[in-house]
Amino acid sequence: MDEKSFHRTPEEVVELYADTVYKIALSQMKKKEDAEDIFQEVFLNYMNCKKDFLSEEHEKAYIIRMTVNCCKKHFRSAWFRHWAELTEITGVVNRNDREEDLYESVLELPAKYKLVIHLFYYEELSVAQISQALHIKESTVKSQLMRGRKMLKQAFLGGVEDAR
Amino acid sequence: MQDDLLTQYKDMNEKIQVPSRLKEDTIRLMKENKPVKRYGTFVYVAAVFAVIIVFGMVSQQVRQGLKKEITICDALEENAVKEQVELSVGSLYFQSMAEEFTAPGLNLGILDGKKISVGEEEYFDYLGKDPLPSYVPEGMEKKKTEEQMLTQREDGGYGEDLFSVKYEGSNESSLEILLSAKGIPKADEAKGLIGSLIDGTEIKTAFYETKSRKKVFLAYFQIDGVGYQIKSQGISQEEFIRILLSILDK
Repeated sequence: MDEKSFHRTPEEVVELYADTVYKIALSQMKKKEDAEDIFQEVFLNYMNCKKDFLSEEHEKAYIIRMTVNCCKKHFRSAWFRHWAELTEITGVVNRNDREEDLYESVLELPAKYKLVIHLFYYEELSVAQISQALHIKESTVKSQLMRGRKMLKQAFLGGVEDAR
Repeated sequence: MQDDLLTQYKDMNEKIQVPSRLKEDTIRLMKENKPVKRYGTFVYVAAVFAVIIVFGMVSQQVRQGLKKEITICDALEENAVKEQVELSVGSLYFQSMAEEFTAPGLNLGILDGKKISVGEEEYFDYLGKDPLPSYVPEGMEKKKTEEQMLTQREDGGYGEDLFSVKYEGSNESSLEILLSAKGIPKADEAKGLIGSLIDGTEIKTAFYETKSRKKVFLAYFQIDGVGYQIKSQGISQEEFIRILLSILDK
């Protein structure tokens, strides 16, 4: 495919990447309103950057990277630091208690672990693709996945056993 | 067991729907090329007004949070340098530079007045602002600033000035910020560099590699009447840009 053909219309790009951007932002920011801010910022930046992509995979890696960058930027803002502690995770879908606990256990993981877990298990990216999107070594992705899974197991199963 | 949990995580994520109102608004803004409509901010603004009523004041930090943020759009690699980096407000050009073009010291020429020494607090009062970045890479710490130079004329006014602030991190990484109210320090070094217009400020950025293969990034610009030369060593291009943006965002 000609690389210019990756300059998509707003409808096309939002339709294609809305799920990816929104769910990464939600898992990172933990608040629906913040995820919506990130969502808009990413797509508006995409339109303004007018970058040529070599492939759809390249484009997706760029979108993921931009989403992560926007989340990091938002985390650092004085505004977020000031208010994040005062807010609670906003429910976004009807879930049972077990699902709610599991989702919150993932959200409570440190940002880098929940990001690779999300990309690997939800986006179904390979270790190599995550490495390319986040610009970290494949060995780092593997160790973050391993530690994230271990922490999740401790946090979630520990909590379930405590409740019994 | 773990994989079972993670399969449930995937299933749960699939239940989450992106609000159609958000998609429609975003497409409309993309077509109109308008800035972000901040959904989160609406909630926060309401909270801020409540705080105003109760306490009668809003902190400086909160007001800073309302400013439009500049974002890095490009994916930057840890050990590589991009000569053109896309930001949400334009392109930032990094020009390759030879180390010999950077001057180790600064010659202020004939001084207009008598040299006086000032500490950080006094100098920042003189500038009328805290000029330091609100972001520095993790692990990097500010070193004790030695007294710096300011000249005072016979009429009591101030002449030339120069102030340096240094941060140091692990692996011999460092960040040095030279400040002057009389213009951009070491501006001669930046003469041949391409300028980038970022959020209304012209910034000249460059890089070179030392003999020990450490990357050095440089930036020259003036904002709110304060001239900056920023020089980093041993940190990534992305971190260097974040430092720059944290000064522009202030």
